[in-house]
Amino acid sequence: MTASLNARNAVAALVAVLLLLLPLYSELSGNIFVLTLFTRIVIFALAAASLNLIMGYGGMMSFGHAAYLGIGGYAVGILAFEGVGSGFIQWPVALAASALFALVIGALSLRTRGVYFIMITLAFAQMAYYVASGLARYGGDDGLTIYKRSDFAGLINLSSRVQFYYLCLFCLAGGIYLIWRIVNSRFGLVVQGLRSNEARMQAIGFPATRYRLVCFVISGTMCGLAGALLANNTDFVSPAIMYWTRSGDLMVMVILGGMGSLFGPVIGAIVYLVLEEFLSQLTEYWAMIMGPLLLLIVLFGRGGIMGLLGRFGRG
Amino acid sequence: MLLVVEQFLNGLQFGLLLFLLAAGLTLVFGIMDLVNLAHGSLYMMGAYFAATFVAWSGNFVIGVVLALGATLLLGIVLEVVALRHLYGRDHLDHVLATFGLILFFNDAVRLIWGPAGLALPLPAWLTVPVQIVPGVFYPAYRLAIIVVALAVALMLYLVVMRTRIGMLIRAGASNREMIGALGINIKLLYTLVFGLGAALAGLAGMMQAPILTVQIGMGENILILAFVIIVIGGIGSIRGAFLAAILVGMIDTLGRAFLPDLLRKVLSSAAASTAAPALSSMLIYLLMAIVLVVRPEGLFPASRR
Amino acid sequence: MADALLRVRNLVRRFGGIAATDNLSLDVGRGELHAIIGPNGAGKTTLISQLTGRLQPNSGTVHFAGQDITRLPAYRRSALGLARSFQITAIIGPNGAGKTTLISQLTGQLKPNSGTVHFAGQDITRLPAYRRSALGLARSFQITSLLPDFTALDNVALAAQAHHGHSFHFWRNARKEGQLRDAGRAALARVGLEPRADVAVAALSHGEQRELELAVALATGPQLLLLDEPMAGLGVTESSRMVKLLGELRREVTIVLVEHDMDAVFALADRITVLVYGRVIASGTPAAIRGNAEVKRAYLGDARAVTRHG
Repeated sequence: MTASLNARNAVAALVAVLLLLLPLYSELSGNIFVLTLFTRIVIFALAAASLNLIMGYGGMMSFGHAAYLGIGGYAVGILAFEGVGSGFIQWPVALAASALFALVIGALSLRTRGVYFIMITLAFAQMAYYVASGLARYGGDDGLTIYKRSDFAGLINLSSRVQFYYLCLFCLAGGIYLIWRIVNSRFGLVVQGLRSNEARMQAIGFPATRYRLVCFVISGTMCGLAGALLANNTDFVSPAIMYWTRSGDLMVMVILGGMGSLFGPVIGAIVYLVLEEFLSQLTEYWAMIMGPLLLLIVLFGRGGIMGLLGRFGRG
Repeated sequence: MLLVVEQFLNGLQFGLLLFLLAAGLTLVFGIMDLVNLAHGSLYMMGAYFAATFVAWSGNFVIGVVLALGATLLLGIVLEVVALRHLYGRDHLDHVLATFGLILFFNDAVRLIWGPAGLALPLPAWLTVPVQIVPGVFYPAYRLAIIVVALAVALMLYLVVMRTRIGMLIRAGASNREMIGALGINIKLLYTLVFGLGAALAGLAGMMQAPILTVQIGMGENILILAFVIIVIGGIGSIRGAFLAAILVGMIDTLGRAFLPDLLRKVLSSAAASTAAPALSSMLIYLLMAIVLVVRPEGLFPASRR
Repeated sequence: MADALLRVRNLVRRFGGIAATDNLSLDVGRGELHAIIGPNGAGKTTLISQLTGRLQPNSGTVHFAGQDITRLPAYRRSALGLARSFQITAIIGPNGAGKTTLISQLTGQLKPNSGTVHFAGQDITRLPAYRRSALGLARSFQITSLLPDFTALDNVALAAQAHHGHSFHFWRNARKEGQLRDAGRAALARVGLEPRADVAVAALSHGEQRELELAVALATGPQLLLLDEPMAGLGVTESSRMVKLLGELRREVTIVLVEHDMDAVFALADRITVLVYGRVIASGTPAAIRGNAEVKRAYLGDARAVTRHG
């Protein structure tokens, strides 16, 4: 069993090193594009990791996770628009708003299971999308431009590409570490147990809903952070970021990387977005290749990439 | 008053169209336990096929019939080649795989028909206003949709309730394991059911096409509505889907028609015109949320457990 | 019984037109090992489910340690000291290493590396699981009542965790909490599973899983143990081991035992209640039950089993 762990750990370590050294490569080769691409990838990896917490470990298939990207993003955007440029205010608001949304949606959605749960999370995300579309003051469908990135009073300059990249990477690393601690804690074991066998967990004395709800809120908050980062990255926020196909993208990243594995979401985000980028340069009709590819992965690639590595190491 | 009647009929028409879409979805989900996000793509293909065949043949009816056949065929091919391998798997696998199919179809359509949408013009005999009640006129085409949709709904009801195949379908929706024990060729049944679902989706697409434009991605928006209808009506229940579809169609249409005016009484005109469509779109989701909280199995669930 | 630990009065539970529990009353004294027997469909599992809170009765009351727990949710009853094990329905084949693997290949959960499986002349070797049950293969509806991804120790430690403070701790590694691990090992040792502590549940044999079930229930520190057919599918050696174990446990904890295995029932029970069609037809000491004519009538097919001891 240690053999398979090594293959997965090796890949994870390699990826971590590559991500860490990327700005250096960008400097030396003069390739700015790769830095901006990977900033975006790292942000989505954080979002995917937050989804993995409830999906992979908790067994809650949320099809509305992109809503938090929007909430975090709009928190930053709206505050910036109204003249509040300080990140020290914007980001906590983004986190708080995401947490509140997750609390309300979770409390309602967790009354259902299975496909019902999937659809109701989808519905609420769509509601958020429509609310954002209806905000005339903040651009509605056209979106909201953010003229100045979050200001952290000299602590860090978000306008610097390299500094911003490392901030995102730091958030990702912090997020993964937090998730690691959570899943091995008392709380994490309960959540995983609930995924495994809810009836049994109830019988030994664990009330299911409240643990799931807390997990749901943690996940949503983390994704809200990703949203704040994303808004800064694109200097723009629009309802489109919350559209349900975006939630689908996040799910794909999690599943692709391997659900319930710590580094899976990072791998999944990298592979999905790089593939998307690579294919779109190859042909204008890259989705025609990506689509069937996803289908094949589902049919033959059990457990995502991390799962594949696990089998490879063992065999 | 006339406006209310007209919008009421529009709501009915939209609801019936949604029913056709939802019926296919609910059949497939109820029997094969398959979450098919690409159902919206079949809706889109139906519209594209119709626009193409009508233009090619020069005749509206012939074009529609050909398109129907093409969509049915496409559905069957899709099931045999790709989707049947998904039966019995996790719903998540279905989501991922059919999501991939959506990407594929959208780009395939862009490749074949180009990024700009198509138009499906109506023949003259369908554009005349019809007097349904003295003094009340309603476009012939929308009337035709109501008639056709009701006819299909009735046919569906008769097939499902009165024939042996229908009995198998109902049994399958309630208890999947049992129908195999009845000695039926399940493979064939599943393929037929899926083909039927595809045809229904395509029909909805081509009927809606003259009213809205035929464009890429038209399936996604309406797909969500279809899922919402299934959840409100009760998974596996065609009767539930019918009633929920009418309800949703009414709420959506009447909301869109009357909400802007209602809002203008409280908000400024500019704010009202952006807020109104958003709010009316939200109504449906609000309804679904309420139903799920109060009665999670839907209003008319199929299986009794 | 005045000081009954468990007191059930006029319990009724209907499913549609059928009364699975039909005006059932029952007393279980403290320190007693009380067996509930009855032919299939008598409503034993339904009764247990209402006692543990998984099902709500239509009417009637359940009192535990003097407290009315009729409407209390499942997870709260555990806190009061009520614990259950889960029933497994329909097991076929011999017990021991490889049995579960074999079953999994027959039902389609596992694909064999080579060889074939024919059923009624049809090759079903590669047929997916959901199709085989439809063909008439006896399918074992195995309710996984354990956490298959975790080890045996993880399972019992979690049970202990539920009763050692709250679980909203997000930082500390729970697998390193000495208190929980020790309590878990103690429970495993009680049933003789300590050497298998770090084995994943899925890799345990069926008999070991039944023992683990018992350990998990024990780890919650119960006052009353509701055992739903713990002998199901156990071979001769494992059955006698389980009987010996239950015999030791009865001194520490009150036990309600639902069982088909008459040897075990008559060896262990202080009192026996016989259930038919959801109602109690007889309740008394083993000797009284053995001699009861109505019981013999109810167990037509099993009459021989009852009289074997008589």
